[in-house]
Parts: sequence; structure tokens; C-alpha cells
Amino acid sequence: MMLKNNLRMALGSLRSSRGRSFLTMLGIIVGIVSVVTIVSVGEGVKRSIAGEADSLGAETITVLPGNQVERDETGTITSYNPLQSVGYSLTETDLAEIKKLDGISEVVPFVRVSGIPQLDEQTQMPSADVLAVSGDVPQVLNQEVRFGTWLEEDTSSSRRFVVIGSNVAAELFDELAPIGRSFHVNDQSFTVRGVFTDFPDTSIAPIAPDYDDAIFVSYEENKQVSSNGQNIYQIIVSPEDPSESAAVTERIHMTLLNLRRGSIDFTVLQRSDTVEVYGDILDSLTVGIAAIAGISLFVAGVGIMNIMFVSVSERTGEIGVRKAIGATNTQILGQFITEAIVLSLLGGIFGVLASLLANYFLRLLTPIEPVILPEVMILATITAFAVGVLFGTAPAIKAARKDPIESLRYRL
Amino acid sequence: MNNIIQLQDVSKLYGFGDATTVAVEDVSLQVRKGEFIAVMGPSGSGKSTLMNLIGLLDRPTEGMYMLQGRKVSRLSAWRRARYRRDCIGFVFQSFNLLATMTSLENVALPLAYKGMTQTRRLKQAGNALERVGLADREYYYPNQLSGGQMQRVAIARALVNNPEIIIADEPTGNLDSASSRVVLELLSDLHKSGHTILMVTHNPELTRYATRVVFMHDGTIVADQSSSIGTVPDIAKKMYLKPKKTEEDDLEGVSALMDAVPQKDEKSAKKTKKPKKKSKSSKKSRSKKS
Ligand SMILES: Nc1ncnc2c1ncn2[C@@H]1O[C@H](COP(=O)(O)OP(=O)(O)OP(=O)(O)O)[C@@H](O)[C@H]1O
Ligand SMILES: [Mg+2]
Repeated sequence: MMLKNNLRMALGSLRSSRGRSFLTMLGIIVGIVSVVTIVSVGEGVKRSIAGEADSLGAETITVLPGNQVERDETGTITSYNPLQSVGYSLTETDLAEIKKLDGISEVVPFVRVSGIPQLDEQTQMPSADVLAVSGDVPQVLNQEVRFGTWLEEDTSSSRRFVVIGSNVAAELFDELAPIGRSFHVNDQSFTVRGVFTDFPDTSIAPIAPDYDDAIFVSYEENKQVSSNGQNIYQIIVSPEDPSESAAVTERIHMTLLNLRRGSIDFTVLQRSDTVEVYGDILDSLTVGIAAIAGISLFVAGVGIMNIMFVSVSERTGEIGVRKAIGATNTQILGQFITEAIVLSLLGGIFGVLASLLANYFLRLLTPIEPVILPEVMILATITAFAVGVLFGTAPAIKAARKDPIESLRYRL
Repeated sequence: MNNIIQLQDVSKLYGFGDATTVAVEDVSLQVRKGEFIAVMGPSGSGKSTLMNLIGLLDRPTEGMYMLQGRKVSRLSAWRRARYRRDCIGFVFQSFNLLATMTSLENVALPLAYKGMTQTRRLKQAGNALERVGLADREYYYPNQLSGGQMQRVAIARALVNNPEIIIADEPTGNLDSASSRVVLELLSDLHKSGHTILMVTHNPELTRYATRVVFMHDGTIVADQSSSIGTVPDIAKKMYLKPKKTEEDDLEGVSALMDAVPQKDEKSAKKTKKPKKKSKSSKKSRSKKS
């Protein structure tokens, strides 16, 4: 009975100060929307990357310098730290030994060549990656050359050829298929032989370079162009039989381990590992951002407390009157806590609606496909609600403790 | 024994140390059921403090208070709230209606703290509003009412619980004489229907509704006189009619009171000259400091 009365009173007084009630709720709404949206965007990106990895199709093995992953007993990756690659590199010996292994169809080393490609004095593209490669890159990257052809091992020609990503074609040459056109890197002249199809958008996956910005030169050419030697930052291996992938991976691992006399300063990843790594990175990213969003919920709580303290001060006279006509401290406490509960509840409902709306507009206006996880929604709402009630309690206690005579002095 | 209110040497002190103010000092007062007491006295003489003590809004620092034969001077806040809800109705000078509620809701508010259902509450509140002649103003908000009407709503709120005691602290302080009359007629009606009424007023004319007039000065009761309804007691006239009932002429009021009091000396002397810790002069100097 008292509950119903409290509820009615709370609704009445919230209605009579709509502006303030809305401001109080806003904190909760923003808190819920930020948590739910951030987590759902993270989840959406994670799923799209997993899908992307599946669609890569080609079963390749990636060899990287430095020990970048930790694995548990079952071989599942437990943590990933790309910074571990700093100071390490793969060598020509590594490359040669891997090439000798059985069951391998293609071995592609990647060397990053320093130098800025330029068309003329004005036109250059500092963001381009010049990558020296050998072997069948289109196969291991599972990507077609859309215009022109891939580099052939053609020694008769005196011209140096390159295949470029679509962004390079657009930025450097301002055309779709600048086949046969030339540009310079470090005073060496190159001629475009082919242009790749757009690579799937992996910009969110931090470990994959954006091949749309890449210029692929022949591995041998690099020796002439580059001054800093052969720094192989990646070797992509494609097994003859995709189902043998795990065994080949193991073989590569053992070979490198032997070469290094047992010290693991390299990383061998199969495709299934790569998906795991992406997921791992995103998980920690999502947790981090969700924690920040959680702080915004806390701030929302402080906001509620602040506004309720103001409300209690403003309503001192009212509290005095209510006490004079017989309200007990507990009843006053109940009234203000009910107000906090109602505000938090309404804030929670509006927060959920607003996050659905935010989700809808994100899908409509951006390429992101956020996925709302019901458990995240429920957790965020419960947290927001708890925070609201928790932070509403201190002002309610203050209201309940007010001295009736002092309070009656205030103007209503 | 059929005293509904019984105060024995009740004092109320504010502050402590050098800054102590004695708002009410060793007041003893017996009120029988059905009395209509007008409390008079200059500003700062402790009338409101006494009303707050009797109304259980406050606790006495010292002394004994029996309400309806039960000792209530040391009750917990919770029990005092229960008494206020069930036995006491307050009417204030500044009406103290909640601006966000209609007249009907304001009047129904005390019943909410009893846990009564909304429908019964509003019905009972409607009856109370009818008793003060405002049945047609149920859905008006306080700011849509005149001062007199607001005070009538406040009276309806005070009586909606049917409390035995109604305490009105300067209920006409903000009203013109016509509205004051209406308010007093209402209080008089309540008195006739058996409620005990304590009313603070500065207007001697209004004491004609009272059965008894109590005068306070410096926290003590200096005169206590029964008066028949319809007449203004001499002492009230002497005190106030000279300086024209205004509060700014308090000083004159006090001197008039001092002139008037000696006539009632035997009675008030008995009351004020009980053995006590502080002499009157020392108390005066203290309250000046504060
Ligand atoms: N909370 C308080 N703290 C300190 N002193 C107080 C407090 N309340 C009242 N007093 C003092 O107690 C004395 C009596 O005050 P009270 O309000 O009872 O006077 P009153 O007779 O009602 O005056 P008025 O006719 O102006 O309403 C005054 O001297 C006042 O300053
Ligand atoms: Mg007063």
C-alpha cells in the first residue's frame, strides 16, 4: 500500500519537475547507450572479421619474426603481442630452409622497402608501402590482379615492373588502370604491370597491412633499391594440400627452431590462429572500451546524486511540511528512494530504446554492422539501475534526516 | 486529570555555551480537552517554540510533557511523527501548501502517510474541503487561490485526520481582516465540534473566539486568563490596542504588557517564580548576545 502511495507521489513530483527529471535520467541513458553501442560495434566488427577470415579461402601459413603469441597446452593462442616482433627479423636462411620442406607449393617472403614513390616533383605517395616479394602473391593473398598481369620472372627485359594496389593507382596516377606508366622510388624507375582488385577491408585488423596501398616489386629488385638490407617481416607459405596445413605448420616451426638452436624468436600462424588473434585483439579492445563506458555509467550515478541533492535542498520546505503532517523519516526516505528508482527505471527503459535507435542509425549510415548482445544490454541496464538507486540513496537519507522545524522555515 | 496537554517546567534552549538562547523557560501549562487557547506575546517571546513543542515537532530540552495522559517529552522521532499524524493538525502563517499539488491532493496528503487507499483518501479530503467551504476548488493549485482560500485549504488539511488538537501559529498573519474572520470562524467551528485549539495571534480582536488567553514574554508565560467567547479580555486590549496591533511596535507592546501584567500578579508570579537555575536577567542578557 505504502509502496503504491510512494510510487504515485514519486511520479507526481517527477512530473512536476520534468526538466530536472529528464536531466537526471540523461546520465543513465547516455551510460547505457555508450556501453551497449560500444560493445555491439565491437561484436559486429569481430564477426565481420571472422567472416572475412573464412572467406579468405586460401589455407596459408604465416611466419613472423619475434615470439608474438602465447599458447596454452592445446596450442590455443592465449595472448598476442605484435610489439614482440621489434628487433627481430627473418633471414634468407630461414627462407631457404622453408623452401626445402615437403608439402609446400608456394613460399612468399615480404620485405618492406624504404622509400617514397613519386610520379614527378609534385605527385608522391608517402603512405604507400613498397613491398619486395617473390612467388605467387595473388595465390597466397587469394586476390586477383584486375588489370594487367602479375610479375613474371622475366629477366630479358631491362625494365623493372611492379603490381600496385588500387589506392596507389588512384592516388599516384589518378586513374583506374595505369598499366605501362612509370614512377620512381629512390631514383629507380618502375613500370606498372598490373593493378590488384580491392582487398577486403581489413583496416580494423591491426596486423594486416593494407595491400590497397602497397606496391609489389620483385624480390630481386629490392637488393638494388633498398639500402637497409633484407628485412623479411613476413613469409607466407601455402601448403600443397590445405588439409595438411597443421602438419606443415609444425614442420616449419621445428625447422626454424633448429636453425635458432631452440630459441623461439619467431611465430608461425595458421589461418585458424589468425582468426583467433583477431578475435583476441578485438576482445581486449572491447573490454577496454566497455570499461571506459562503464566509467560513464559511474559518472551518470554521480550526476544523479548531484541533481538529487539539489532537489532535496530545493524541496526542504516540502519535506518540512510532510514531516509536520505526520510523515516519518522512513517515509520521507522511501519517497526519495522511490523517486531515484523510478528515475533509474525510466532512464533504463529510455536507454535501451536509445541504444536500439543508435544501433539502427549505425547500420543505416555507416558500414559498421553492430550486433547487440542481449546479455550486454541486460547487464548495462541492471548496472545503470543499480547505480541510480545507489547514488540516489545518499540524498534520500539527507532528506529523511532533515529537522522539520528548520525545514519549515524554507519558502515552498 | 482530563488535561489533554500537560507541560511541567518545560524549557527549550538553542545553541550552547555563551551563545545559548532560552526560547522557552520553565513553562507549565495545562490544557483541558475542548479549550480554545489564544497565545499572545511580543515577537521572540517563544510562542512558536512552545507550539512546536506541543505539536511534537520539537523536543523540550528539559521538563515533562504529557499528551493525552502519556509522557511524550522524550519520544523518538518516529513516535513523534505518529502523534503528529494522528493527534495533531498544523496550520501555519504561510499556509505551507505544496505548490505541485491541487487543493484536494494537498488535503489528502496526511492520509497518505496512514496508508489509506487513494480513493478513500480523496473522498475524505473532499469532505474536509467541503467543511471549509471550498468544495468547488478541489482541482485548483495553490497559486490559483487567494490567501484566505489557501489558509482554508490548510485548515482542511489539518482537520482531515480528525486530530484532537489543532495548532495554528499566526494563521491570520498573512491575511486581511475579512479573510482572518473567515479563518477564525472555521477554527471556531472546529472548536465547537470538540477539537482543542491552540492559536498564536497578534490580533487581540481575534481573542474573542478563544476560551482562554495566554501571554508570553521572554520565554515564560506571564499571564493566563480565561475569557468568555465573544469578548476581548482587558489584558489583550491593553497590550495591543494601544500600539494598534502592529508587530513593529513590539517594544511598546512589551511595555504595555509590563503595565498589564501586575494586575494578574498573584497568578503569574506563582508560575514564574519557581526555583530555577538561571535568573531572568541573566537569561535576557544571553539572548541579546545571540
Ligand atoms: N533554531 C533556533 N536557534 C536559535 N535560536 C532560536 C531558534 N529558534 C528560535 N530561536 C530563538 O528563540 C526565541 C523564541 O522564538 P520564537 O520563534 O518562538 O518566537 P515567537 O514568539 O514565535 O516570535 P514571533 O511572534 O516573531 O513569531 C527567539 O529569541 C529566537 O531567536
Ligand atoms: Mg512565531
